Parts: sequence; C-alpha cells; structure tokens
Amino acid sequence: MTEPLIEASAQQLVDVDAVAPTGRLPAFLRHWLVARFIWSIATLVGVSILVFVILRVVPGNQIDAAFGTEAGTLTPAQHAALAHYYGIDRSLWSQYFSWIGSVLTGNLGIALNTHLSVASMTRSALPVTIELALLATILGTLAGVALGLLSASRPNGVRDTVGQSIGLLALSVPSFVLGTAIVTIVAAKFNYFPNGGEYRAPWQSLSENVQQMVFPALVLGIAVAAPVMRTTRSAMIEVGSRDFVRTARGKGLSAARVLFRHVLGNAAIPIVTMVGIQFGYLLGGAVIVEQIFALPGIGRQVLQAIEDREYAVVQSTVLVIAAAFVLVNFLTDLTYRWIDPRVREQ
Amino acid sequence: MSAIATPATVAAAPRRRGWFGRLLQSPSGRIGLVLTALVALAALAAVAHLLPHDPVEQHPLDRLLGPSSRYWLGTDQFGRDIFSRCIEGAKSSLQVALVAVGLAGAVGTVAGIAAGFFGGVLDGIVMRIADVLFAFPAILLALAIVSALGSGWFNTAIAIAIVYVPIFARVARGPVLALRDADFIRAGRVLGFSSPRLLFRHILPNVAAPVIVQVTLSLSWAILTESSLSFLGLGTQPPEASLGLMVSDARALAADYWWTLAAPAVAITLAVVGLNLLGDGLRDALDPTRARD
Repeated sequence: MTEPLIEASAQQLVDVDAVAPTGRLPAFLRHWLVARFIWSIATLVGVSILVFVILRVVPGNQIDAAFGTEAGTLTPAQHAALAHYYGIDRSLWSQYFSWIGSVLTGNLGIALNTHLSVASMTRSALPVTIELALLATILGTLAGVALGLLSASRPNGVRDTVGQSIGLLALSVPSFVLGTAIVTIVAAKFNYFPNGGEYRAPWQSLSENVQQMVFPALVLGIAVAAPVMRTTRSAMIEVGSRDFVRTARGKGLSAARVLFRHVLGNAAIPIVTMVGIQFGYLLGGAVIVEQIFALPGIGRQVLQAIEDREYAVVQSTVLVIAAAFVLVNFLTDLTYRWIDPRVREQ
Repeated sequence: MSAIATPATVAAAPRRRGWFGRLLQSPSGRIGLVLTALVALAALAAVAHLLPHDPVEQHPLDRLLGPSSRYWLGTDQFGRDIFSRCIEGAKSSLQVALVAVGLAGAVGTVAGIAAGFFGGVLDGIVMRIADVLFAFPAILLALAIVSALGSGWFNTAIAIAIVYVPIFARVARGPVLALRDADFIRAGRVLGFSSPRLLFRHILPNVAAPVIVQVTLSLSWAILTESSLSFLGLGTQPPEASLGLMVSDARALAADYWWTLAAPAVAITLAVVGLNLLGDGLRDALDPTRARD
C-alpha cells in the first residue's frame, strides 16, 4: 500500500505544478513538499513498526490465537511445526521485513478462513468507506459552517447560545447511540431496514445506494459538524475583530460582502484544516457506524478480522487505514499552504 | 516566579486569586461543574453499594417493565434494574477513564516536559513517537490495542491511555518550549539552579493550566471511547454493567421498550456534556487571555 501512496503523492506534485499560476511550483511549496514527503514516509515506517509490534508481539502468537485454550494441549513437536507454518519461528526482524516486503509488492496477506486476499478485500471495502466519509464530510461541513456562522453572528447572544448548545450536543452524543436510535426508530416506525442486502455503488443503483448511505452519513455528519462548528465560530469571531474588517466596514462595503469575502475568506484556513482532519479521521473512525448499519467498509473489515482472530488481516488493514490517514493529512497540509498566502512569508 | 513575569508566564499561569470564581461565573463552568459532580456522586454511590437494586441481580418476573416507583428507569430483558445498571455503568466508565487519563497524563506530560526542556535528540524521539501515534484515527488505534491485549476494563484503560499519551506530550511541550528561553529561567540558570529545581519549581506550574484543561476534555473522550469499545463487545464484558453494552443490548429491544435505550444514552451524554462544559469553563477560567472570548 505504500507504493500507491508514493504514486499518488508524485501525481499530486505534478498536478499542483500544472495549476500553479506562474506555471512553476513556488519554491517555498517545493521545499516544503520534499520535506513533508520524507516526513510522511518516515511516519509510515514508524506506523508499520507500531502495527507490527501491537499485533505480532503483544498477543503472544498466532498459535494461541488460532487454537485458543487448546494451544496448551499441543505437543512440543506440533507447536514447532505450527510455528514454522506461521513463520513465527523466525526472528522478529525477519518477520517484519518479510511482511513489509510483501506489502510493498502489493501482497497484503490472506485471510485464513475465507482464503480471500487482503488486497482484494480492501479494494472492495475502501470505496464504501470513502463514499461514506465524503458524504459525511460534506453534510457535516455544511451544517457545521452554517451553525458556526449563526453563532458567530452575535457572540454570547441567544443565537450563539442555541448554536453552541447544538454543537455541544453533537459533540457529546456518541455515534453509536445516535446510530442505534436511528436504526431502531426507522426500522420500527417505517418498517424500513437500511442494512438489508449488499452494498450498491452509486453507479450500480443510485436509489439503493442513497438508501444505504443516508442514515450512516447523517450520523457521521453530525459528528463532523460539531468540531467544524466550533472551529468556524472561534475563527469568525477572531477574524471579525481584526482591524482590516473594521476598515472594510468603514469603506462602506455591504455587510454580506464583508462577511463572506473578508471574514470567511480568512477564517477558511482553520476550517479547511479541521475538515481535512475530520475526513481523514472518518477513514478509520467510521468503524462503529459501519458496524451498526452493516456497511462493508474498511472499518468493518478490521472489526470482523478482530472477531475472527485473523491477525494478518487486522495488521495489513490497519496499516492501509493509517497510510490513507497520513496521505489525507498531507493533502490537507498542502491545501492549507496553498490557500494561505501568509505561509510564504515564513 | 511572578516577580519576573514574562508575557508567556502571564498567559499560561493560573492566577491564584479567583480562577474558581471565574469558573463559577461562566454558565458553561457552572453547568459543567454540577453535571460532573452529579456523575462523580453517582459513581461514589455505586462504589459504596448505595444503589436501589443490585445491578446484576435478575428478577425474571419483572422483565422489561417501564419506569415505575420500584424500578425508576424500568428493567431490562433479564429484569435487572436499569437505573442501578446506569449508575454502575457510569462508575465503570469513569473508572476506565480516570485510569486511562491518569496514565496518559502522567506519561505524556513528563515526556512532553522533558522533550521541551532538554530538546535535541530526546525531543526528536518523543515527537516522532507522537507523530506515529497521531497517524491513526483514535478509535482504530484503541481497537487494535484492545484486540491485542484482550478485553476487560484495565486493558481498555491501557489502550485509551496509549492513544492519549501523544496529546498530553504536545500540550505540555508547547509552554515548556516557550518558557525555556524566558528571562526568569535564564536567570535561574545563571544563579546555578539545578535542572530538577528549574523544572519542578519554575516550569511545571506554568504547564499545569493547559494540562488540567486537557485532563478534563480527555476524560470526556475516554468515556466516549470506553463506551464505544464496550458497545462493540471489546471493552467491559457481561454481566458487568457498562453503558456501551446496555446500548448494544437495547438494539433489539428499543423499538418496543424505549427506556432500555434512552436511559444509558442519556447517562453517557450527561457525563460527556458535563466534562466538556467543565473543560471549556476551566480553559477560560485558567487562562486570562481567553477569558474574553
């Protein structure tokens, strides 16, 4: 999975080059890109070591996992044979490098009970999660920014109290509570079960896809809206108190123009950053909602593998999610730097 | 310390006079304090076995009864008292959260202060480890660690602690970096103060405010994470009461017996809202520069 990441990032570099106004990538962005890219690779190496340590070293070994309490009844010879079979009689370093070697060549391992390759499982699960995360991010951003603008329009007024209370509630009601409530109410009152049947991509059947996605996207959207709302509110209040805003008002610009062009334009930077963080988070953080609504996404793949004690699947899938998370954070940083001209000064 | 105050210390240090008063002045601080005290009292009642019913005792004849004077919040599918189970569940959530945040706060704060104060290689190592831990969605990392360690309340606490260590490391490192070259620390060095003395007497008090705020907010996240993991069957195990497990059980029941879902849902939300409000209130009360938001 690291390889596609490198390709994606290199692609990004070319794309940015193409759209840069001068036709060339500004030097500050080029230097930053190189440094940030190396940093991302280093982080991924660390991530792979951590995932390996958590899932290989801590739980004893795969034999205990596969045989449970019966592992104690195995003869030493059987134990040794199984250890050789799973490759855990080799040194940890050799195990780590053989795993990373396979991952780099696109081999993420095989699920023992279904004989499916983790790569093919991931290929079918990842689009589900990405669609869900995109929808939730769009819904959450719209609601969060609107609510944040409402709150910031009169700080400490009635609107602000209402907006902040909604934001706090959205932050505090756990996704699993909201998801469970929606599933039960919708199923009972409308006799409608959102999680019947297989996942349908939007191009296969748009109506079925919408039916499957609308409630989970709503639940996650609310979770995204809360931090976006808080960021929007504080950024709007902060920027709104600056001198240049007073000047813009003094020039006689309309309130709407000041709000959208001058204040929101500047407040956009922290908001974009928060939205990016939330989107990245949803790639793995959607696990509970995927489970409740029976969506076959990447989080559910991890959870299922944990239940089935398929540690190879858990290990590679968690690595894929972390790699995607690092990539999204990288792109968020890039956007941040791209839209904020002040960063050039640094 | 206050004799040679720099702008950085003024910003970070809690003024001794009146931070609690400022907390009580803000509505969020007041409500947060009351809710948090309520949850803490309820947890203490559970510890002292002062509940109307035994939270795990089954009453087969009283299954799925609605709220009444005998069972204040009704009973579940085994006839267990939901009110007592909610209190007991809040206690176990709080227990996990306190242990997790205590561990993460201690380890993370020490690591962050050391990294910021000594800098160099140590800073590099600590912050790279933090970067790696930040490269996972929090719930996924907790999930992976719990799956490796096995379920149970202590392992859940360890998993949550590992996830939150880097947050505390960053929170503590920031003010230390700002203070390291402050005039009063330089003066201390010139006077020949030892590193421990500079650290504990002069730097630690300035780190306390952001760390206290972070502790409060982390407790609310820890309660959310604990109940989420229990909901997924990876945290507290039955028959022990847990708010996440109660919601999970209610999935099959809530359509006909709403109280089985409503009670644990409200309990979790109250605890999380209370800690969030208290954290917001403390942040404003402890930090004079943010007091006028």
